[in-house]
Parts: sequence; structure tokens; C-alpha cells
Amino acid sequence: MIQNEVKNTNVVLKTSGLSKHYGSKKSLDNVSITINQGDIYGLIGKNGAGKTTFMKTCLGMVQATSGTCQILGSNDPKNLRKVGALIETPSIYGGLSAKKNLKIFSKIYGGTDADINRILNLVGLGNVGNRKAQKFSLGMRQRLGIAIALLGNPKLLILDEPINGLDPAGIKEIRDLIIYLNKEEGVTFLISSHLLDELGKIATKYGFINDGQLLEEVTANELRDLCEKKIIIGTKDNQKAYNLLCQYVNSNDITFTNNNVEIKNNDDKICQYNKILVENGIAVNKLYNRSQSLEEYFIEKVG
Amino acid sequence: MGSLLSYEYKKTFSTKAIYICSLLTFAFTILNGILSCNGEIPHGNEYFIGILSGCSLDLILAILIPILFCTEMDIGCIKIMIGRGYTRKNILFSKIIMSNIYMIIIALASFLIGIAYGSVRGVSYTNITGKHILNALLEIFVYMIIVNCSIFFSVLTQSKAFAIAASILVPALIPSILQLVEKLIKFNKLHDYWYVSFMGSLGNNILKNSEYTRIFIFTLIYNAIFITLSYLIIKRKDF
Repeated sequence: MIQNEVKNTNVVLKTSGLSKHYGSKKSLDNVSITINQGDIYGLIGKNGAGKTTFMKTCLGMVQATSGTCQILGSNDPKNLRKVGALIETPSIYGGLSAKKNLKIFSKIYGGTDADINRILNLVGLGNVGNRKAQKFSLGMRQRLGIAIALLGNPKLLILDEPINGLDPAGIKEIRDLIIYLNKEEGVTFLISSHLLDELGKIATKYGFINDGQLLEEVTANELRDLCEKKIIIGTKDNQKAYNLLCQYVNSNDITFTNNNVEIKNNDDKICQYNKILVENGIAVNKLYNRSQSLEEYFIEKVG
Repeated sequence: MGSLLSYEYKKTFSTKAIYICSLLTFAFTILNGILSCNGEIPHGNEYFIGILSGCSLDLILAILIPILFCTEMDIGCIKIMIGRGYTRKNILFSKIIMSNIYMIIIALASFLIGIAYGSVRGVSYTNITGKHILNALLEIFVYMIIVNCSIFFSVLTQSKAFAIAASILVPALIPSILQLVEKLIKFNKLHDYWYVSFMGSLGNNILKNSEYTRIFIFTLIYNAIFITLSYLIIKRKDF
């Protein structure tokens, strides 16, 4: 399913049969994904699908039942020094300012004072001064969590729902930051998010996960092709229009939904359908092409 | 490990709780001095060996260590350290080392404050011998058990409240359980082998060499037990 794209194909993260069982419950079941250098990999799934468990297992926070995870080409835990992560809630010291938080974490993650100032400006926290982190808004805390993940110039950033709780301006800032880091500094990303349309704007590859299993792995280009195009038709008598068009369209491709008639995979015949309806005295008040959104594709995939 | 210790040092001494607990310890030390010197000035050797046991450092540590450890677990710092490639063993040992370093610093500071207060009140230390100093050093060694025991309960319960309660109550309840067992097995000295009795002995009397040896060996054993149990739990734990 995955086509090798013409880009640097150094593998940054590769899991083979990664599984995590809690008793009889399989939180992860034989998940194998590959993230290449330069990818922005979107991990998509419902609540409880296994996205966070997957990320934690890759990072060693949760010990896998079976399977392997290679970071930057090997199983050496020291390679994790080049991985930054924001998992669940940001891990910050509320009683300290943003800068002090970064200074403390720089002891273990690396980074000079100049790096700290640069990172704070990058995430939009350059001007918060000595305000304690416990007084930050949710969006600011998220940004501080991302700032901590950026210490040590990581090659891979694993972000679990990084835009949760952010306002639209904040979402755009984080999106721009991700794109900047990916394009200008070559950082690879693994991101999970419920805001599928947002993820759809930046991801280069997707993994759909449900009940701990990887359902599908596609590149952005492949997904664009897979998302179905439909013709949406609305008339004064939709039932009559549906019955009429059934004579011209494959029964698998036509549905009567929400008081509209929807026809799949026939977007080049839109004029023909309009002519058929008009010639049969059915007034058309709505007629357009629509592509399936990532959200709709996801719902169809996972139910 | 060096970077972890540097992180622990910076993080520990950036915490308000450390300074509040330190001041409380010093306050209890002075209070102990006031009560000891109230009326007749005590003998220097009795006052000397009573300084540490009277500063309530055992209670302070049983509260502070779970606060420090469980706060880190609550806010997710430990999981992020694991996610950056630091082993559970190194993370645990860096915390054990720094917590014990803090305890030693505070114990020594309290000790010096106690001695200074005693001097001001006219206590004479001319009869202090090597055994009195040994008492004080062993008391500090016994405090290590409290630190490591508190870390064990923190790792086990992952809850500040439960860890504090366990760190205070469990060591205090065990002597009663041991006395019950003594009645059953007809062996009278069982509770003398629990570390709570060590502090009582060291804080009141000069002991025989065999008793110092017993205290030293069993303190080593208890420290080893708590550290090992903490390691076994954290090694298997999912964060």
C-alpha cells in the first residue's frame, strides 16, 4: 500500500509486531509502522484506540509484551536521547517559570542558555518573564511541554495530541512551528490528534489505529486518492430523483442519504445526471462535487 | 548518571518544600534544645547524643520524601526521563542518592545548630568521646532507612497521601506487631531489631560495641531491602 516516495528514506522509527497486553486486553496488537526521516506521521484513532500506548511503548515508558521498536536504526536506548516527546499532559514544574523549567530539564536533555532562549521564542513563550507555569493557560502549558521536548535538538518529536486545548490562533502557531521544524531543521514528527482536519493540513503519512491494531498506513498522496469523491444532488422530490438515477448508476454507487442523493465515483457525469433529471421534470436545487474529508474517511475506517 | 544527579540537585533545591522542611527541622532542634536546657543544664554528653533524635527529622523526612518523589510521578517527569533513554535504575538511584545527600546535609546542619544552642545555654562538651560521635553518625545512618523506606512507599503507592501515611504509620506499627510475635514465640528481643528502636537507643545511651555492630548491620540490611524492593517495583512499572 505504501509507495516509496522520492525523498531521504532513512528510517527514523520502525516497529515490528509491537504488542502490549494487559491481561487478556490487547492495548496494542502487532503494530508495525515505519517513519522515514522528514515525515510528519499522523497517528489517527478513536479514544482508547491505542495511540498513546503505542507512543509510550516506542519510548520505553510502557514495556512491550512482544515486538520491537527501533529508533534511528537500532534498539539502543541511548538513541532516545535524540527523541523529544510530549505525552498526555505536559510534564512541567508549576512553581517555576518557563525559563527555569527549561534550565532544569536542560541538565538531562541538553541545551545551553542560548538554546533555551531560542526555543522559548520559537514556541511563543519568549515574553512570559518570571510568571510561574502553574499560572499558564492550557495552551501555554502545551507550548512549554513542546519547548521541553525540543531541548537537545531532537531528530524525532513524538507529540500526543499537541493541539488539545489550544485556541485557533494557538493551533495555527503550533502547526506553523511543526512545519518550520520539519522543513528548516529536518525534524521528523509522530503526531496523534483528534482534530483530523488540522492533522490533514500537515501530515505526510497516516496510520489508522483501532482497538490496538493498525488498520492502514497510507501516504498523504495516497489518502487524497482514496478519499472518495461524490456528487451531491438535491431536488424537490429526492425519492423520485433517486429512483430515476438508479436506472443509470451502479446500485453500489448511489445512496439516498439525509434527503440528498449521493453518487460515488462518477464525478465526470455530473452534467449528464443534471440533464436526466431536468428532462424528466425534476427540478434540481442542489448539485455539486464533494470530496470525502479525512474525518469522514476515518469514521468509515473505524466505525 | 552525572547529568541525572545534576538535574536532581537543581530540581531539589528549587523546591519550596525543601526549605520549609529544613526550617522546621532547625526549629524543632532549637525547641528540643530549649526543652532540654529548661531548668538544670544537662550533661554535655547526654545533650550531644539527644540532638538528632529530638529534631523530628524522621517525621519531616517521612513527609518530604514522598512529596518530592510523588510530585515527580504526578507531573510525569519520570516517564519523560525514561522516554529520553535514561534507565529506570539510574533514575531511581539518582533520587535515592540526592535524597540521602539532602538528609545528611540537614542532619549535620541541625546537629551543628543544636550544639551551638547548647553552647549558648552553657552546655559543656568536654566529656564527649568517640562513642558519642559514633552515636550521632549511626543516627544519621539510621535516617537513611527512613529516606529509603519513604522512597519505597512512594514507588509502591504512587500517591503522596498514601506514601506519607505509610512512611509514618508502618514503621510505627511494626514494633507493636513484633511485640505480639515475641509473646507467641517467646523471644523477648525481637523489637530491638527494628530500626525504630535503634533511634531510641542511640539517642539516650552510649552502647556496647556489640550493640553498635548490630545496629550497623541491620541498618545496612534494611537499607538494602528497601532499595532492592524499590528497584524491583520501578523496573516493572509502566508509566
